Amino acid sequence: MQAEWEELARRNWLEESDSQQKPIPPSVSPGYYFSTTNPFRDQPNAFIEGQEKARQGDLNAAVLLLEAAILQDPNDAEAWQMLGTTQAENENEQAAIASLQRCLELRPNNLQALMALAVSFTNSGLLREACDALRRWIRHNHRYRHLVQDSRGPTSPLQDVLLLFQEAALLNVDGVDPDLQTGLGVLYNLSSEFDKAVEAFSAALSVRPQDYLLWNRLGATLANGNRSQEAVEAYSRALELQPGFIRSRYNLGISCINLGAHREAVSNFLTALNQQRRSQSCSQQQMSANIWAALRIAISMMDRPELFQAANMGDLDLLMAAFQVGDL
Amino acid sequence: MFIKRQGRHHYLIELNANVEITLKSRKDYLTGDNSDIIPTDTIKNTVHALAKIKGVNTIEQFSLDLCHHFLTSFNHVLRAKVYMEEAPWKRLNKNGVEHAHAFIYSPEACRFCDVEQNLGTPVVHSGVKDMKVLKTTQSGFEGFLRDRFTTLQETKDRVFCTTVYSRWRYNKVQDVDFDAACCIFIIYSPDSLFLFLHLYTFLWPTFVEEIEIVMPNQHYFTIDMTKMGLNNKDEVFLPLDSPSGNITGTVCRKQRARL
Repeated sequence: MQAEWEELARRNWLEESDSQQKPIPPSVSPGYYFSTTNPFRDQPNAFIEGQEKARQGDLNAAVLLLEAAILQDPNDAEAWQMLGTTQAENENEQAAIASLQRCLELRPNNLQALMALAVSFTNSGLLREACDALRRWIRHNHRYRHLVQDSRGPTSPLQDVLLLFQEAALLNVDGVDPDLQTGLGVLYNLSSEFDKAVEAFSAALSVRPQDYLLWNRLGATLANGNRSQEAVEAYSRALELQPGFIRSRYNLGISCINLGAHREAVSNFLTALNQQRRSQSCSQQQMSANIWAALRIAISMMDRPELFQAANMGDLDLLMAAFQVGDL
Repeated sequence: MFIKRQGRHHYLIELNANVEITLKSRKDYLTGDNSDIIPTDTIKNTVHALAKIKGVNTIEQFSLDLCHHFLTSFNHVLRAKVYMEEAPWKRLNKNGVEHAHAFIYSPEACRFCDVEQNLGTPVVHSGVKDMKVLKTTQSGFEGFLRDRFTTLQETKDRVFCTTVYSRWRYNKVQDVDFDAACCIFIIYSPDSLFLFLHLYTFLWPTFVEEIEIVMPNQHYFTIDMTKMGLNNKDEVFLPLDSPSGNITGTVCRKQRARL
């Protein structure tokens, strides 16, 4: 009987029945959804202030300021890029993808946007799109573009790009290129070779030890490779460097769930949601849906039905009181 | 019921909708002031009107549209809950050719959904119920714990029958193919719920975050005919209404950390 099921899985039974229905639309996002009420709409120097807010860790305010900057000048590629990376840090993946894609429409060779997009696609399980973004990264990178060849062997898109990055890494005999290593780390995550991904991110961190994004990426790689305890340490480093880093706090909560520390998990999720809410003019929509979903799961493991109901209702105040989570 | 006509080819979906809304105000209870109340008659009309205005593609999408309408058209609605069941109309089929506009009611399974939204992201569950399935062989039950009250005999081969109830939750509501997620697992039913949940997770789409399954074990017993001098080789059975065991389980997706 087990063999029957494995056969089904091999034949991708579910995908076969899919093919009779209309295909799911590709990952092209419908465009960026701007906040409906933006108090910074006409703010001068919105971009610079947005950058400053992001640096301070007030991600929600940063998002609003960057949106304002874009509404004032819709072709500001730098603002789109910053908005994309900030939304990713704020645990809003769809918004991040939409922003970064818009940035790349304006500036197709923007390496940071390509790398950030590859990460977002990886998080969303979109392997082909992630590989595509990384391939474009190499192609637009002066140091490595000569490695790209058009000949496509019978290997998969993932193996193709992985080979490219590995060849590129061999070129760096006298030093580590942290961006290249980040790309390698992302690719090894996609191929589930988590130990190699850990090595790559660690190499990048040796050059940039204060880069909280890298600490989070290392942590996430460790977590997805079932090294939850080490993941917690990496996330803690990231949060020391940037306490407002919502994504890392979300990840920390997830690792707490995996380690069976449900109370700590809930505490982390509530802290993150409170940070988002506390920021100026943040509506319910601007809190991350992912964090709410993870919070529901953590509470469901605690056998407290009244709190689970509160989580479904989105009653943050009740939950914060119940778990004694105060303002940071 | 909603009909969509594309030339001579007609599509239909018939559903039963249950809509609940929760209001912010209490003056209707405290002072008898009705000015905030949205009559249930209006709610009923809204369901009809939205079917016309937005069309009905899947019950999940229609439920989402209804919730969105009530939460955005009024500023005193706190929460909207919609439960829908879809009538099992199946297109008539002759020799593999589907009929353009004739259908037959085929209650193999009842598809339902519920959507709840409180001013934030809606939470969508879908499910199937009343799906009665049976297999006549390749089902067994052995190796269970025996104590002094155990009389059940181990068996390697038996008739297995159940009525499946399953409900699952989505982790996102945009760009979801709700039809694909409504996977019919009639053909291969398992020996035990454990194996079923474990193996079904190989197949479930990435946008399903949790699934609950309830399966009562509906027994068919071989009738003992030895007193009539007959050797019943598992050919004649007696279905048993009750008592029956009830097996339930819930599996949820392990969250991935985000790079």
